[in-house]
Amino acid sequence: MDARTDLPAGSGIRMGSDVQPPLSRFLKRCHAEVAGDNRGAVADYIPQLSKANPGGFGISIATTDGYVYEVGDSDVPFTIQSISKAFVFALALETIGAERVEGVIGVEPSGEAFNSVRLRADNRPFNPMVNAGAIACSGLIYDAQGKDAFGCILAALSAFAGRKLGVDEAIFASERATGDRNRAIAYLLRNYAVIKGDVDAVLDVYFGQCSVLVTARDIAVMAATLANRGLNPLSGEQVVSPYAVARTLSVMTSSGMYDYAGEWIYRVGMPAKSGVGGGIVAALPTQLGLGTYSPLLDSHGNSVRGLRVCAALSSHFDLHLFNRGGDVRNGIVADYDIGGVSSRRNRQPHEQKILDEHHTDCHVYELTGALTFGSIEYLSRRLVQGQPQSQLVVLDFNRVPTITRAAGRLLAASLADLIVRIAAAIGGRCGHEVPDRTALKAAKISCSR
Amino acid sequence: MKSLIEPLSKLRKFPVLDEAIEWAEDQIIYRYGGYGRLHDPTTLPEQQLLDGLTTGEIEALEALMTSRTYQAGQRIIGAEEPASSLFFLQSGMVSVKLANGVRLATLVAGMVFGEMALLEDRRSADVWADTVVQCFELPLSAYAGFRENHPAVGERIVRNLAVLLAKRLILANTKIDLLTSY
Repeated sequence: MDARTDLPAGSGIRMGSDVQPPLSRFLKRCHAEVAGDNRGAVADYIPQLSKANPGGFGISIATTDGYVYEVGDSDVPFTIQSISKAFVFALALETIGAERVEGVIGVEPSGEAFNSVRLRADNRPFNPMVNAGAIACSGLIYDAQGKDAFGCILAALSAFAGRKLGVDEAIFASERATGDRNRAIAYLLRNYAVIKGDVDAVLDVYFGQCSVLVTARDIAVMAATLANRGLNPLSGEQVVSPYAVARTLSVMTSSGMYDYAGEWIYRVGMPAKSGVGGGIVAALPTQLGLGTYSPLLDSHGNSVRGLRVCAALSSHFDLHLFNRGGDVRNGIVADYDIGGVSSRRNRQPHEQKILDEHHTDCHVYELTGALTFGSIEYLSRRLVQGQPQSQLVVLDFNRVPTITRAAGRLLAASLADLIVRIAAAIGGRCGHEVPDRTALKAAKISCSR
Repeated sequence: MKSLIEPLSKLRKFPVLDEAIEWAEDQIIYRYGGYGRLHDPTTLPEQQLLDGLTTGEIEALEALMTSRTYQAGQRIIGAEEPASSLFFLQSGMVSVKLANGVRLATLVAGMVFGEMALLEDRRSADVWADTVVQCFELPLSAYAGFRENHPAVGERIVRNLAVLLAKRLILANTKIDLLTSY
């Protein structure tokens, strides 16, 4: 039951072995409480799945700075099942391209069970989180990779988890032997030309991806990779692009929990995906990835204990996606003219006198955090309204990890306006600049000789 | 598109904020005509640390000093070395830096460096010559004897040092206030 921690090499955070962060205590308490809930039943539609230990129960949380919490059976392997759908969809977007993937698979919630055979009116699968969409997705990867398709998927799932994953051969054989419903879906997809190739080969890829063995810890890290814009916070590997991550999280939000998806996003409010192996994975963008394992499933095919853990965490820590504070003004951490903050160059008295008289000529804005449309829009208004005498504006980006593309465009436009405005205000003087630093130094050297 | 790119050529990129502010200060000084005198070598009477001393007293101190020349890129003082002298910068520019390369200060003609030797036994940072540097080095051993014979001058110099340190403290406090008021 001890919370184990794992840190990336060179990580600055290290907890003493006897010190536990508060979340670790919460998870233990939560685990102890929920472990008594024996409602639900182990999946039995695949004979091999019914052998799962109904008492197995593990929780893991991976933070986006690479800290991993683990409680209970967090290292017990189970088959990933439908959780793979989210990650294989991300892989398809990444390797096959959004246009092709989005042209074949819809993104509308079906409101139906995971194994529904029904397609949309245009004969495309509703979304990549139900079997039909996932099989179509495997079909696209099979189209592109041929017999390397499964290897490609296993490598991607491993990259998401940050370790080399294996396959449960017995489950794979069992899935294959009893997969007539999926076979029916696959043939239906081929009938409508969603799948082009060999149906059995595509299904082998699909059954293979469902039979990949993971632990609660693995899926927590996989989710943390999604929460971290596709960058695995433990291995440091950029597994997929932020585009693929945002789209994957979108379909997880709308369709990840089958016919429970609406209730889920309303109550828990985290993009999530469950699997009949007993796993639930949930990702809270920029913050954490959660993985739970408990094979007792409710009528929707979702882990009973896993749902309770997610709900408890969400309500206790206000993790609901749409329960977000924030203030566009927080993008500017400080702003001042150079009367208050000078450079580390000590000035001679006559220079200092000029700077004292004209300190408002230069205004500094120190920016911080991930800059988005909102924070740059605010900055752009500050630049327009502020300090008319400022002929020099310094923007400090040293504490800005990311800036969205839209914010970057807005910033460029705002700076261009500013430069034009300053040039107009001070006329020709704008053109007179000190020769650059090297020329300045050269001038000094020549004078000091 | 032209109208967007052309004004953006007025943008400059600096690796650290301090360099950007320094550049902006240079622009302001240049625009208001304070640039030309930068290169003039200074004499000892212009040194702030020697403010209030008579010509005779300064000459007596000068007799204890050794004239030094350093090439650009040379290290003049090393952190942790015994602090046994102070330097009066006549011409050129030096930078005080930590071992990790972070710049604490850049000093030009008319300023003193290594002056903390009056208070501390060991050097707390490196000092590098940014350009060719001309300076006077005053060994503490020689200064100790001078101070015994001229206690009033010694007091004056310590007072001047206190003024320098107080100015630095005021600047640092202003900076801390600004950056923590958010």
